[in-house]
Amino acid sequence: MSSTDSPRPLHHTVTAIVVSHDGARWLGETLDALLRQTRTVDRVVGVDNGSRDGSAALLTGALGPNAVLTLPRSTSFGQAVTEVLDRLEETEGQEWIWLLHDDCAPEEGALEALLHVADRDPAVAVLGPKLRDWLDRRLLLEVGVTVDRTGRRDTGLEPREFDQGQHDGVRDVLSVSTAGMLIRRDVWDEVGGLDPFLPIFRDDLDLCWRVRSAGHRVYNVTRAVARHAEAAARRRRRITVSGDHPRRLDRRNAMFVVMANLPWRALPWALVRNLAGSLFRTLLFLLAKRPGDALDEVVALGSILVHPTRLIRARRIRARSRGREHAGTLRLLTPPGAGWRRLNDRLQSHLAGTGFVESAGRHHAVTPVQEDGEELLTDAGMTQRVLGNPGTLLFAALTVVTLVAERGLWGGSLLGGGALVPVIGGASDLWDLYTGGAGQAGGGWAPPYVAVLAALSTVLFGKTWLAVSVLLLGCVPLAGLSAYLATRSLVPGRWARVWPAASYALLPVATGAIAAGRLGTAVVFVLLPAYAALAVALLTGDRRRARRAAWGLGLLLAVGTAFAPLVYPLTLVLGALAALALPRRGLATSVVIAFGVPVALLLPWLAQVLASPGRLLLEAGLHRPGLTGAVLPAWAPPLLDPGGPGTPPPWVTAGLVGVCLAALLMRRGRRIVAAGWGVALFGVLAAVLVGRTPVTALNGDARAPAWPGVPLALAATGMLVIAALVAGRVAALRTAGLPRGAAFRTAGLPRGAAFRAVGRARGAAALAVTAVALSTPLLAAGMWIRDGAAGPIDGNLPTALPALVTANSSAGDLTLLLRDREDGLSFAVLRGRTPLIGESDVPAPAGPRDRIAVAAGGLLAGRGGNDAEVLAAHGVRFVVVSPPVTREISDALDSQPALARMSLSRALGVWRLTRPVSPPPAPPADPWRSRWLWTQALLVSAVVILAAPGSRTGADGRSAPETPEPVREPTPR
Amino acid sequence: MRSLIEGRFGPPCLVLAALLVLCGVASATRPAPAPSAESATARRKVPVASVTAVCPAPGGTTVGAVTPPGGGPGVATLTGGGKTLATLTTSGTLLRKKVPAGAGPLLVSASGGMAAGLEVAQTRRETSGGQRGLAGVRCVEPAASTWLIGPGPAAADVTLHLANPDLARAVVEIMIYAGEGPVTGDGDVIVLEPGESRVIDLRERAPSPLVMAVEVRTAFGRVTAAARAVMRGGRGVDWLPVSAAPSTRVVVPGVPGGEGGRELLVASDAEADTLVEVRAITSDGAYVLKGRELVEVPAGSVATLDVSGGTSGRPSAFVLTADRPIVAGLVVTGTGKKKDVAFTAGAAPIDLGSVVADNRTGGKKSSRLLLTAPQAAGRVSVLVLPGEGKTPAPFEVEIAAARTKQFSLPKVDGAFAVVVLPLPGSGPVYGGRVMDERIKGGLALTAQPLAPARIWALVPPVVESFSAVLP
Repeated sequence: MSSTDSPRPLHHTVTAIVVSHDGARWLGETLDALLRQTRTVDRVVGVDNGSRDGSAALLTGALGPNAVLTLPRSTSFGQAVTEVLDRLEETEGQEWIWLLHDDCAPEEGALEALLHVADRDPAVAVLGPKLRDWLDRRLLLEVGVTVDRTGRRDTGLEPREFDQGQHDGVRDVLSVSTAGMLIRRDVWDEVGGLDPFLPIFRDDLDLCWRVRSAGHRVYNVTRAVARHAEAAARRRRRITVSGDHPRRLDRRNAMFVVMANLPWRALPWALVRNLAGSLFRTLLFLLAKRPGDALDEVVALGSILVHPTRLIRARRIRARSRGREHAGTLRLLTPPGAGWRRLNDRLQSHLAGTGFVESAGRHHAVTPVQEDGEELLTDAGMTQRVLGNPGTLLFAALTVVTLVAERGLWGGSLLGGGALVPVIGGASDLWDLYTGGAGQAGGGWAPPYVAVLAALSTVLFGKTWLAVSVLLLGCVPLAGLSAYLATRSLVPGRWARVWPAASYALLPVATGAIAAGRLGTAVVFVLLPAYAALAVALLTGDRRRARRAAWGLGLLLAVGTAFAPLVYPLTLVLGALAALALPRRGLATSVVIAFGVPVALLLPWLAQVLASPGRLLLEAGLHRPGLTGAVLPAWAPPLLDPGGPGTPPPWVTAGLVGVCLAALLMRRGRRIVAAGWGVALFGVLAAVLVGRTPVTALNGDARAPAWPGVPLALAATGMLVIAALVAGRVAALRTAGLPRGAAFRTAGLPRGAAFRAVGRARGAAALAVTAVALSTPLLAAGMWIRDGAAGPIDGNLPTALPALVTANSSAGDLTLLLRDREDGLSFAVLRGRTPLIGESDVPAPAGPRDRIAVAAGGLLAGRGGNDAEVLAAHGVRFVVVSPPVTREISDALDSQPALARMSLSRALGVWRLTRPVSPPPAPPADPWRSRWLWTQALLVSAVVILAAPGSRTGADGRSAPETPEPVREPTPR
Repeated sequence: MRSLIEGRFGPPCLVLAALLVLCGVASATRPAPAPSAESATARRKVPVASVTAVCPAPGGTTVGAVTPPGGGPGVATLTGGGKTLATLTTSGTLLRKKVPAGAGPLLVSASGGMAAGLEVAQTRRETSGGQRGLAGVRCVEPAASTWLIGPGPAAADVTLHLANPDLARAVVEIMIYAGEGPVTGDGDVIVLEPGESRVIDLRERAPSPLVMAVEVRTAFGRVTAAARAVMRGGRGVDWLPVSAAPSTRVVVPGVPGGEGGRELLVASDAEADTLVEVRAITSDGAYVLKGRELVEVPAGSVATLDVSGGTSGRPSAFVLTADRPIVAGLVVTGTGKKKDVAFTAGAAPIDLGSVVADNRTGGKKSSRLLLTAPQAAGRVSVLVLPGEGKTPAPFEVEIAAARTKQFSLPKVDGAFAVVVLPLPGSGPVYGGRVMDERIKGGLALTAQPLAPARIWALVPPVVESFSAVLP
């Protein structure tokens, strides 16, 4: 055709936008192809969405630093393009935008071919090239895409179809991929660009549909060819724009796009089709033993149905143009019979034993299938991503340290000792205990941490010991991980967060809690960084995020309070101070939510605790005098040393405290440092007070100072924040080659002359700080490994209840277990087994307890009398003396006519009551108990739902708070 | 203030000051050292509320039963052969009961106030015949383990009297240790049903030992055990007192002065030989017997040591220390043409007092208490409880450190009981009672170490704690 036939060709300007995200492997080729176009583009802007593989450097190298925009990792393709267009003024004439993925390399004539078609037909607004495979250039990927009414994508191609020109031509299609899409800027602005609700999958379809509805044309031009690697869809790189599962996202977006764009009268039928289709597909997935896919299907459908307002809003936006052109659009949809035909095909191929023929193409989420050559491409895949993550490495290293240090605790028969009663029973026993079905004598409420443990045990195959081992013995790696994740909002660098996290995880509080079997402190120690992170979100996030963080904080605070009640008042004081100090709209409500949730969830038990305030200072497990240091030295709390077994010498933690003190000299982040030190000083003060307060144990059997582990963990959290800040500064200093904005500014030197000296001094300071800082985790790990996790805790405890008793006792028989220690005689009344974890925290009723205590003392004194009758009346059938069995005790028990000896050795003595035993009647069940438990379950589910992270809506995503690097204004090249 | 906060070195100084203040608070509130463990483990004295004792062979003897005064209401019952022979309801008076010959074991049970310190003894006096002499024995409570030490079946007819007064079956093992080592019997056990008693001639089990130690121990249940030795050739008769359980330090109190043989028996059930150091504590002082400082006791056997001349006829006690647990006893032989024999054995200190139920004085009879204070000086009060008539006022006796003090009990009409109570500040006191009578042909005598009275029980503080399940 000659140029005279057509209207006077408009002056076209083309702006190419290359969006990269972890695509360094393809990006170089893509940029080459872009710059080699026969019709050169007029402007190029590169956008890097927080790549971690050097994509940004490639872009900068090819396009120059001023033409590259850096955005956070969570930015979607559409947002990236929008950000660029916001910063670019329009040009004269007809402006086109050429969208390029980092893994999409156009052939050199592509742009020319596209513009040629655009010149010919002024109605066309979107043009797409023919997409071929990146590796095998003969394979066709897409020549335009359409969709059926259930959202199923249809390329009209057979899988692995070779390109022999059979589809060539300029074709009117429903949509083309954003990879290589050429779109008119005015049309882009008219239809509003890519929908931010669809960060990935079907965003192109939606855009083209809207363009078509607005009366424009979408063409696929097969003379323009591009090669496309489909890296995100094939999961060669991680999808970071959304935390949802890709498959779920794919289904959700598919249904959403169809339902948002169909005209009203077609909508009900599409709704019914989708509903039925989804359920049918779910059923098929279930039958095919693919519950994960079934879940995705249901959740995707559910997320469409439970948010009708979202759909209505989307439809309202599209309403203006919809309908005008829709007859033409409907024509392009996959015909209605295609679904049945596909089902038929699938059935036939299944019967024939051949593979199923799929024409959906691959640019949507698919179950990954290994294809030829694909294994060569997986070097940046899941494994590398996980193994290369500093958090994973930190977790692995801490796990190794823990395993080596706890070498004496593994593989034994029974874990226990210190504050931890021997861990027996399974998840069902714990549930029984919590719901009151175990028939404990007291009317007391079982502590709610039993429910947490029971839930965890249920997940861990019903093994309570596994749950306790994970929480207690694994608290160091868990704390490291939680500290690593919690400092994410403070420090941009990932490696810089490793040091503070490791320092925190290996603090004496953790090793001491493990050595003394303090499950409560261990759990709180893991949770505290999460509290800090949620508190930051609550204080600084936007309204929805803050509210969500408040619910989450409340839930986690309830868990922590259940294990160690002291954490609640401590955080309450800090929360109240924060609410007073930072007047912010909605903050007071958030704080009330965060601190109201634990009260609501733990109500009856918490009231019981408050009735005897000393219990606030206790935690899950036994309170025994030997577990706290004799007297806590005065210098111990500031060095975060809680005393007691398993704590390293004080100079181990001096490095961390020293660095935190040095942080006060920094000019930057002074408010954060001040806040951190405020928390730390408050925690140390609380630790001093707690460590000096003698507390009587639950049953009045011991009186000893409380262990200041929880307040010191709080202080350590404050220092963790400071340490993270320091680490971030030092890392920035080292990488940035120490020019402007160094952490430690040396005052008073003239600028020009001493610049290098200053730089050197700063470098030396940074080096010194690094050395001092690294001493804490390394020394702590070394000492821990050297000494081993020795202490009262033991992995191989003998069972306290001999088999002789368990074999002979019938249901309801109680056993009086006596043990003689230097600090006095103690007894426990056991019900055919040693106490479950948590049972020791149910207060025993005082009356029977005192009567049995008097009777036991009388038995041991050999005074005769009716001691045995008292025991029999309380249901005690056996009297067991634990080692060491002294002659005095065995003689005294032997002198009782009412006791008959069953076994006696130095290691064990067992006596049996000769008189008939009458077990006391079980107390009547409290009708309120089960009602409250149901209420509690409902409350927990409600809070979980409120705290769960929701979808990332447009407003949410665009104003994401994390902007690690300043956004620079791009200037076109 | 503002410059302090915003200045460069202000905040570090503030934080350091705060940390120092916290250290100061911590050191100021440093608690005093914890009170000693004494108060935590202090025991409470409570009266014993129930006592059961068995007199092994009361036939032809006089049984005396007494409870020290001060107890509340209660009743003590003497039952023999299924019949109640006597009841005692008032404390502080001695009940004496002659039991007809041939009667079986006598069960004495007391409860309430009458149980606190109930002491029962049987004494048999024969002036002629094969059983000539004085033979007395405490009626003991059933126990899981009883040690008796004395002559063996080769030197005397030794009969072992076992009884099971409890409601549970008792399974009894008898271990015999002779001078040559442990006697391995046929190993069978004796099963005593509740209320059953049995007399065993030890000759059937071990015919050859000249001296022996017997441990009656039960695998299940409890029994009372007593042994009577009738010396061959009319050399006297007496019961073996229950000896203190094996220990590395044994005090054998109540060795009477005067003429006659004194033979110390030391037994060990250990699996290795042991050397025993012997010290005598006499009225004149404590010393090591010259040439008899050490006794070697082979493993599982009984060694003898003649200590007749060692104390120069002074009342004394022997303190034996060994590196392995031992049991000790002493054979006292009387003087005269027809000799009588008496036995004493290792005993516990009478920290909570002691009661001797049956003493006689007047005429040719005399009763003496021999009190020994091996370590610190002792001070006791002695109360005489006659069978009838007014109770005299108690008197005090002081024992110098490392001395044995002998004193005769006052003359009282008829039999009487004696209560010995240590006074506050007294060191540990061991004691024995010797009773003798000059009868035709020679001195008849019997002896017994003072057994701790069961007046008080020391109740240890016991607390409920689930930490009991942890080692």
